[in-house]
Order: sequence, then structure tokens, then C-alpha cells
Amino acid sequence: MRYWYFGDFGAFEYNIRESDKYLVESKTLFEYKQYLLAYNSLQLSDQYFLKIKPALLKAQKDGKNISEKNTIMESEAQKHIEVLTDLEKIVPSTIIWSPENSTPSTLKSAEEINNSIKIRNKVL
Amino acid sequence: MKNSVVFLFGLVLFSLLIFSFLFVDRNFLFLNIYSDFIFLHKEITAFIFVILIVSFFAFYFYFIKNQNKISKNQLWKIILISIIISIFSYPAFLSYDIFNYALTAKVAFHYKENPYLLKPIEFIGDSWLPFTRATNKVALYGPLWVLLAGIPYLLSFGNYLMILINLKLLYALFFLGSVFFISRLTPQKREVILFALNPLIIIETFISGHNDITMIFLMLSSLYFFSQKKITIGSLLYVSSIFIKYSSLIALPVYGFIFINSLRKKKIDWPKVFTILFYCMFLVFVLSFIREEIYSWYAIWFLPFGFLSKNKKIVYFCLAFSISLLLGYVPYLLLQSYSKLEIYSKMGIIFLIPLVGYCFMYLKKKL
Repeated sequence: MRYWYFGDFGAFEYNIRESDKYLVESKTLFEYKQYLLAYNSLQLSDQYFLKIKPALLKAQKDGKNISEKNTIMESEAQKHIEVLTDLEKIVPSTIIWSPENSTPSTLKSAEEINNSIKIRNKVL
Repeated sequence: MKNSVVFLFGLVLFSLLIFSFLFVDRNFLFLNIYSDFIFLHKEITAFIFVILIVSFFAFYFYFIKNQNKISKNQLWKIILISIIISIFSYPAFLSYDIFNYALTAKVAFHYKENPYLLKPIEFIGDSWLPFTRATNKVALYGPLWVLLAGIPYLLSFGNYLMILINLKLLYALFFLGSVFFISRLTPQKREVILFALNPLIIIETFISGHNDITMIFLMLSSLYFFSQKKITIGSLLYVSSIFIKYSSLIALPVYGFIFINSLRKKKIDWPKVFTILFYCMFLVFVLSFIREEIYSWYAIWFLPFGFLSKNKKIVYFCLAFSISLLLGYVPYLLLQSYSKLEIYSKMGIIFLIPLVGYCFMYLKKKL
């Protein structure tokens, strides 16, 4: 699928799409208390979000007018922050995740959500 | 045939060429010859258009009637005259599609973006946007067309007028190829004249610059190769036609039938195949109003098969539609808008002329 989205604007669209998809997935999983999976999805959403601005900068370097895409990116960041702020209220700050057949792990969910908000704030 | 007839025919085409420049868009800065004549004198514009179309058809019918007087060389001369004159017309005379082909090629080859994903309008500030219409749509045609449109784009070296000429030169190749394959599929000169000198095909291909001839070339060449028992190349050409414009997909059962019969080395009744292909392509033409509306250049899909069918009724039907579809532009020229009134009047003209023609023939037969 990534190859279908070739080009700078293509990469921009692709990363926005994927970042949105994993954020929605993460939100749903957090609501269903599937913390480990939710945590992983949020990290994936962040990874894709981080690639949005470089794609736009590359487009600008290639001589494309990015004003409209920039507005889209900012609205995207604002909406993500809104969702993440709501999540922060319902998710415990630290979760000890104990799977049935392996050792428990500590998920610093509040820290991760905060980090995600910071990533989004950087583009505003 | 007298050279004076050919000269007068060329004169009609030349008048069409001059007439097309009245339609230069205000934003089309590559040609600084904008005039508001067509807006200020809508009735005169429509009148001139009707006169030119009627004259074009008069020569067309004259050529059909006097086919025996036209030598092979003379026929090719007339065809080349038609191409050379009309290729230099202003293309957005009746439709703006050629500008979309150019912009789609620019999205793919200049901006290096996927034209199926990004709309031209997303490239803010592009100098081609002000005069191109439907820029809010992603590429509508098959991937093979996007690739082919890249050739004229790349060979223009950024000169916009060159892109338009190059695109039309590309059509000329496909058009001449289609004429060649029609002449191979039928031994008679009549079908070649019916296709190659048809005013609708010439206007929509070389003046308006629609890409339908590319799909038709691939469909006709495929039939030729099937007739020569070259099944692989025949199949490949047909599949390629689908990747130009998806409408040829409707002919899949017919091509499947040809493919199977060719494999089994069975004899194929070609006139019957052409007749069925005509019906298939006419069906897509009629159904096109479901997607948007019936456009006159869609007739290029069924006209060649209609002419090749050798069925007298179908040929008359094709001729009647060629006239009515071109005259269907009159409401647009009179109103200069795409209103409901324009669409209904256009539909009225398109279907009424063949209907009146049919009634006239029926009554003539009965009385």
C-alpha cells in the first residue's frame, strides 16, 4: 500500500491516514482496557505522525505549495491532541500488564500519552 | 475525384480551425487572443457552427456516394488533410478534456505524484489550473493512458502548446492505425471512408482531442490479430484497451468468444462479431448518463463497429447519431452554460434526429 502513495504529497496522505488509523485503534483498545495493544498502537500512530512534517518539507523543497496541506496537518494535530487529552483522563498513569504465560510488564501509559501530545504540539 | 472538391473540403476544415479560436479561454494565457464574441453573439456562433457541421457532413456524404471515384492515394490525401488542418485547432472548443490529460500527465511526471490519489487542484498556484476544468477529480482514465500521456508531456519540454500538439499527434498515430486495421478487416473502401472521414470522429479526436481513439485503435488491432490467428498479441491488445478507458470491458464476452474460437481454430463470422460489438459499445454509450451524461465523443466507441457490421440499418443509425451528437452542442453554444435546460435540449436533439430519420425512412418504405 505504501508504494501506491508515492511522491511527497502521497507520503503526506499516507502518514496522516496511518497515524489516524492507529490512534483510533489505540483509543478503542484503551477503552476496552487492552492496554498493551493500545500502547503499541499509540506508538505506531506516533511513528507515522512524525513522518508527516518531513514529507511536507520535502514537498516544499520540491517547489510545491504546501499552505493547504500545512493547515490540514495542524487541524490533524489539534484533533489528535483533543482525543489524547480525553484518553489521559480515563487511562491509569501506570499499568502493570500481566499476560497469562509471560512475565508482567509496566506500561507508563500517562507518559506515553503525554509524549504523543508533545509530538503533535511540535507541528502547531 | 476533382481536386477542387478536396480543396473545398479543406476550406471547410480550415473554417472550423479559425472558428475554434473564438473559444480561447480568458485564462489561457499561452494564446493571447481572447475575444468575448461567443458570449456576445451566441446566436451567430451557433449559426456558424451549424453551417460548418452541415457543410462537413455534406462533403462526408459526397465522399461516401462517390467512393468509386476516389483513388486510394486520394483517400489518404483527404485523410491527411483532415488531420493536418484540424490538429492545429484550439482544443477547448467544445470540451476541456485535453487540458485534463495534460494536467494529469503533469501530476505524474512533473510533480511525481500519484494522479489517482491527488487532484490537480491540490497543486496550488499551478499555472495550468485557471483554464482547466474538473480539477477537483483524480485521474479518471486507465493507467496505460496516464503513461501514454506522459510521452507528449515529456516531449514538449514544458511548452504547453507543444503538449497539445503532441497529444494530437499521438491521436493521429492511433487514428491512422485504426484506419489501417479497418482497411485490413474489410476489403471495401466504403467502411474506411465511413470511419476515416466521419466528421464526429475527426472533430472529437483532432479538434477536441479526446483519447477514445486510443482505446478503439487497440480494440481494432486486437480484432485484426485475432483474425490472423495471432491470439497472444490479440489478447494483449484487447486487455491494453481496458487500461486506456474502462468502457471496452463490456466487450469482454465477445473477445472471450473470439479467443476461445481462435484457440479451437473455429471459423469466426466477423460481420456478426462487429454487429455484437456495436451493440455492446452502444449500450455503454447509452448507459453513460448514469455516471454523468451522454457525451458526443463516446460515439467513437460504437461507430467503427457499426460501420464494419455492414448492416445497412446500423450504418444509417450511426450516421444519424453522428449528426445529432454534433448538433447536440447547439444548446450549449446558445446558452454558454451547463444548465438543466442545456442538458435536456441536448438530449432532445441527440435522440430526436435519429428518430425522425427512422420515421422518415419507414414512411418512405411504406408509401
